[in-house]
Amino acid sequence: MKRSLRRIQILCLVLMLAAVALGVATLPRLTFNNDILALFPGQDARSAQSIADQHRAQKVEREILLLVHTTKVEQLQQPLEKAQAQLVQCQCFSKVAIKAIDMADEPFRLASEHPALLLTPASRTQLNQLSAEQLSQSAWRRLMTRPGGFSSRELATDPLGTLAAFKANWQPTGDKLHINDAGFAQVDVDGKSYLLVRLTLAASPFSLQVQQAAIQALDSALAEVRTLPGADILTTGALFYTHAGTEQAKREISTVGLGSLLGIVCLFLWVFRSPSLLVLAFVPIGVGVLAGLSVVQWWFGHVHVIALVFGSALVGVAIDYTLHFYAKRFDAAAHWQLSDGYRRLLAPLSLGLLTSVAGYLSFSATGFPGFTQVAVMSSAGLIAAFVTVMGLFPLLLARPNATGSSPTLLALLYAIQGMQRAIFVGLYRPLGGLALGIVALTIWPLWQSNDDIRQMQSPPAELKQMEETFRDSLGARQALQYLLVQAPDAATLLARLEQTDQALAALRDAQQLTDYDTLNRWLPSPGQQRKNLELWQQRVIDSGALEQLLTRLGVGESGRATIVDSLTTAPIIAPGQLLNSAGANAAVPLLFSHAGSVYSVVNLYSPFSSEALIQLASTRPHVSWVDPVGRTNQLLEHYRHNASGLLLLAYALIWLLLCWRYGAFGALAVVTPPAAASVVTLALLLVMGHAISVFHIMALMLVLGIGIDYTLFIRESAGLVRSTLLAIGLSTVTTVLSFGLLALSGTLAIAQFGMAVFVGIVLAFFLAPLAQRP
Amino acid sequence: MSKLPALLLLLATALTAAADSPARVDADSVVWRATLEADQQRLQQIAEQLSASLPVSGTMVQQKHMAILEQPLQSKGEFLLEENGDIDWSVTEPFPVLYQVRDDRILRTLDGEQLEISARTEPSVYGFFQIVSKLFELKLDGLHRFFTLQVPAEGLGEPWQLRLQPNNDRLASAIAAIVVSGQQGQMSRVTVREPNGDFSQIEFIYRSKKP
Repeated sequence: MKRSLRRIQILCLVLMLAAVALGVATLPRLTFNNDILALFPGQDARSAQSIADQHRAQKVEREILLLVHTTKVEQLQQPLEKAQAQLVQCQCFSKVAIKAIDMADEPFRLASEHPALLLTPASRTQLNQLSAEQLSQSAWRRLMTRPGGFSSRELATDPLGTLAAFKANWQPTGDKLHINDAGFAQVDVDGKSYLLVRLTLAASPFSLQVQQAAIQALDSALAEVRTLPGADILTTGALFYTHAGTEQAKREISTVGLGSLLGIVCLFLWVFRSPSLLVLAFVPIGVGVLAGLSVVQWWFGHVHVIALVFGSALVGVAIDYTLHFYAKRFDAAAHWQLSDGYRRLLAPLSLGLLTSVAGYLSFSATGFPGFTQVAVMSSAGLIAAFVTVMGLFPLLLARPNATGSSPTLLALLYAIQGMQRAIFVGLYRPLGGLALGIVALTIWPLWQSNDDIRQMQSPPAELKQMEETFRDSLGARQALQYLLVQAPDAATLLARLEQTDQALAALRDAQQLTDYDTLNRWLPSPGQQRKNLELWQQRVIDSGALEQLLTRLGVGESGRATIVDSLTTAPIIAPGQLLNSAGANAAVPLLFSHAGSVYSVVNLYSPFSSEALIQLASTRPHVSWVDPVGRTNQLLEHYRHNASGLLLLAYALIWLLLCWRYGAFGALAVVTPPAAASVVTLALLLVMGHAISVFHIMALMLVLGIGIDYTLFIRESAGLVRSTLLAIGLSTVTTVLSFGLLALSGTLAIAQFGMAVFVGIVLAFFLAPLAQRP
Repeated sequence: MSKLPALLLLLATALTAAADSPARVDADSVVWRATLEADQQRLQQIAEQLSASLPVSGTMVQQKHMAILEQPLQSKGEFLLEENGDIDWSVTEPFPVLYQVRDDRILRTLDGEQLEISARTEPSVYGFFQIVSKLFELKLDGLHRFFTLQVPAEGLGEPWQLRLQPNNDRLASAIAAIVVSGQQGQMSRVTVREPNGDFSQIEFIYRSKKP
């Protein structure tokens, strides 16, 4: 080997050893992050909306509800108590409630509750409209017609019942539960009685440990209940969805993953006929994954599972480097000379590495934090795999290949070579370009895109059905969408909420909104409290209405004076205390302060008209309409556009990069095959009825990365050399085996990715000869 | 769903509010003691007799004695308890109002207008009927959730008397005790005593049954 090549090889070997050392040192310290949300951009992680989202998500995500039925519901008490005793043993649950009283939150209390301050709009109307005589008469009748009567305390604190009416707003609407004699919350579903069990997870249901522990605990704790006659258990909660997702992923990893591994092993043994070569082929990938993980850990402080999965897969592309090395040596057979082979491999492999790294690093520009890690991991991994092939292989594969090749394989290679020659050698390229243009234009009207995150997931129909049942049987449910109201302080916030409340009440009356909750229903703003106090003083005290009522009831003179006196003045309740106390009760709308402002969420109950609510928010500068699903969809659309732009940019960059070596037309010839393959892939997908999403575009980035490798080798090898054809053919098959099989995934997003890689890579392989020198 | 717990708490505390109805049983030279094993059979027997006599109907008179009032307040009306637990509670004086308890629903008819009452809108009314429906049939399981049962020192005779003492602080803050008396398979009087000494008393006068 020439001295210059020898130097490169030694440098590569040193780098490889350094990568291995780094990996070994970092490996024990690897920390994995499996929060799936990290896949999506945290937008501005510190924005008020994201704080509200996080609070809401945490509350909703961790809740698990069970509805339990047996033929004799009254006999369920003991089995459920046993199940509860078993469930609390699991640290995965922070709360296991089977009795209604245990499901209750801390009651909401204000520091002082005075009827003069806390009036509902309906009470205000009544006070305004009725005369003193009518008011006292109506209050008298109210007290005298109540079957339970009233207490002296009630008379002294809420003689007109207005405070009770105000506090009724602190209670939820729409729930259809009742408490049975044994203290269980009971609900009827399709004429059958079910008991409600409510659990709260101790951590996110996206955590794999929590999922596993909780599902196991539930299975074993409910085993006895399931054996009871007529037993039926309905479940709902994010846990069951995340668990179903995990199970599906596991199944797919074991089927698709195993299938692709077996396929690749068989292929290697058939082509290279050497188990030791098979083992050696995985060494660069092993070093690559190790180095990639270490760099990501070192850079980000943790490794996201998405980076682990996708990053490892991309590093798997490094099998191409091995394949080229093997194919060169295999094809040269007895004539193999390390120095010559090494020289011929160096340029295309380096260029391939350079373009792949450039392509993958552009992933990070999509803004998906998960994909930034994928970019770093795959780039570092590819570099490590490259130095392993170029540093280690010359030491082990200096001698010619000992085994001959399969005649079938040779025949197949000749056939493909012949076919490609027939198609491409005489091809008038502008004509091909024209044909491609026509294809693109014909297909254009079929263009459709899909950025709906809900369609990308495919939860089991059974789970969705059960959730529907819960929704129907338990009554109104909060919508995912909400309004966020902002103000500089709590008093202004409550005043703004009161304005919003009025507008929302109008929408509800117009049947455009089922119901809603605003914080001012729990405490009016200081301004409103003052108005209430004034109204109360005027209509209840000064008018003599209260005095009349007490006289009608027969309250003695001193008693009357005491009561009237105590109901005459009241200090305004400061709204600041809400910030400290509101969080204890889950029914109170979310309230938080952030960056010098105070925010509160207005909870909405579906169904409602989004347009009307968007309109409402758009006319109020301090009110924002938040649609988490819509926002994710918008983001996906945004990233689809971004990724498409980046893909074009990546092509332009690679073309520029290659211009210095091949000239403008030569570089164009090299980038055209993957580009054409991508266009035709999109066309085929559209014809097949697919709607294009960001995941298809990510796949086309992979097609670029791998497809450029193909064309670079064809360009560098001056014609359709058999070793190149063998290497890129094998690369195509291994890529299809490792990525294309993802098309079988049950998760639409992954299936789309797999399908696009499958079609794109096969096309890139067949179109690759376009890159050869004319 | 997040509102569910609040509702549940409300349902549980509705009984507290119901107990806001004033009360004092003061035929109380009675000495009370905890129920013994020996009383269980008699309690069961009373409960069976109460159930067996259904349906029952008659008139009721409610009196509220409050320290703050110069005179006790009085209201009158009629009641009907069906075998399936449905209740008609019709107050005729001083104002006419009809309450109908049907399964878990409570309907109020006032001035010809019918309105469904929930634990959310009127916890005290809801809680009142929760207790009354359990008392009418002496549903011991239901009562045990909220009360400790006591019997006169000499035991449960005929006529019988029972004392229900709240077994949680929340309820005890509103109700000191409920004393129920009855005979011949019918509950004749319920007296609810408040901690501040106020009390209310409901007398039931049964209509003779048609054969």
